[in-house]
Amino acid sequence: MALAMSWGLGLALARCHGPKPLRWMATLYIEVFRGTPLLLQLYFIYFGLAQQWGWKLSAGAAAVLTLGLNYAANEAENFRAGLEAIPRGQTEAALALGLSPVMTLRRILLPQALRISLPGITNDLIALFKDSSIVSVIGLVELTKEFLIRSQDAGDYIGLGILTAAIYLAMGHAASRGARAIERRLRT
Amino acid sequence: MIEIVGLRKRFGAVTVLDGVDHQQAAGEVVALIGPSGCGKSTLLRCLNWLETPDAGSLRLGDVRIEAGTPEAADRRLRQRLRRRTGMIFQQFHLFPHRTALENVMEAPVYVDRLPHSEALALAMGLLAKVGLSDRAHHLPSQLSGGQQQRVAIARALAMNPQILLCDEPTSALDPELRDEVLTVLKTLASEGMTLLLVTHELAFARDIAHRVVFLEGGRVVESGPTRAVLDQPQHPRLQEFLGKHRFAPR
Repeated sequence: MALAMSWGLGLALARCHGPKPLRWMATLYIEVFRGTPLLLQLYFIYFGLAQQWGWKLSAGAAAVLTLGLNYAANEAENFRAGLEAIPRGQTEAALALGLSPVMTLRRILLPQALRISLPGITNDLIALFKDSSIVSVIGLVELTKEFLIRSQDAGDYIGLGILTAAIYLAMGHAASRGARAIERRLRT
Repeated sequence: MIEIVGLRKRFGAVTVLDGVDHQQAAGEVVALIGPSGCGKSTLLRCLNWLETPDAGSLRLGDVRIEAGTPEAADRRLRQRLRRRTGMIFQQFHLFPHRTALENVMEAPVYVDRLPHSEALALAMGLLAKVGLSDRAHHLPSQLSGGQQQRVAIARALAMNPQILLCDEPTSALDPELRDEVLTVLKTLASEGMTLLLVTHELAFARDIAHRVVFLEGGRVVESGPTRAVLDQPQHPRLQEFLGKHRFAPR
């Protein structure tokens, strides 16, 4: 998620404020990663880049990389929505005060954009968390896979299923609570 | 102090400023009047390069910019120009995520790099000047329109501008709130601040301005001492404009 957030922010800035070629590349990146299945991307990176081309990527690293690159495209759009929602007057007021464009972005635009983007980002954080179950296809054992193995052993899908769901819920809920706390701190 | 020569600006096919000349001495208060779309706001926004003029030259104190030259594209020159101007917007444009005090401190801390304690003292002094010491820790959303505009004035003054550009500073305000902003501007004028203000409030212009400039179709149609321009308008368009405002004489 850290990868997705930081890379996503970079993409959004490139798309909103970058020079033309950069803008174009960011848009292309976002379209490609948003428009193709996550599963396919994971196969491509792990079986394609790591195994076929011999990149030094463990299954875990490939999983983190794929999820990060994919969600970055989504986060970029969340950030862009936030940036574009801020009235132009904010930029003008900051520039008129003598703030440099970089300072304007950092001090005035981004804090406000983050506040607007946060609910969408939280959504994605929880979705990412649940999507992490697909990494089992490259042999990683995560929560859902763990559930499957154990319930097959125990012959109990319902009880363990509810337990597993509760774990997902608890972690997702913690994320929502955390995000709400940040929203309150960013105020207005 | 200010010297504008032959300023031109077009948006697509529309010529908004069609060769505007204007001079203004330090301490002089000038009101820009004219019908909507005559280029008043654009002229103001060209003075701090929020709009880039297509042609003409601009001198503000020791900063001189010739539109269209390579130097005009230099960001540092633009920044120097902005350091010498303060701008008051019709819609205030306070930073909503920062308190009144933080709004005023923003530029001293992040542009002038003043130590925090100095910026704090400066900002508190300016908030006191606009009568808002007790609102320092309020967010803009917790302030009335008049209070927000007064914070915006304090914020602009924090950079110690040589000229204050006011773009219809009271147009978004109720009549009762209008007066508190006008009072602050009047005080500034009496203290010798150079003001260039776009306004629809002819009564206020009469009250505060030394000179009035009437702009129409991107040109200065008439300009002169306030009383002469408002009481004995020479140009038929100005006569018509003043007539429409049903301006009560004297």
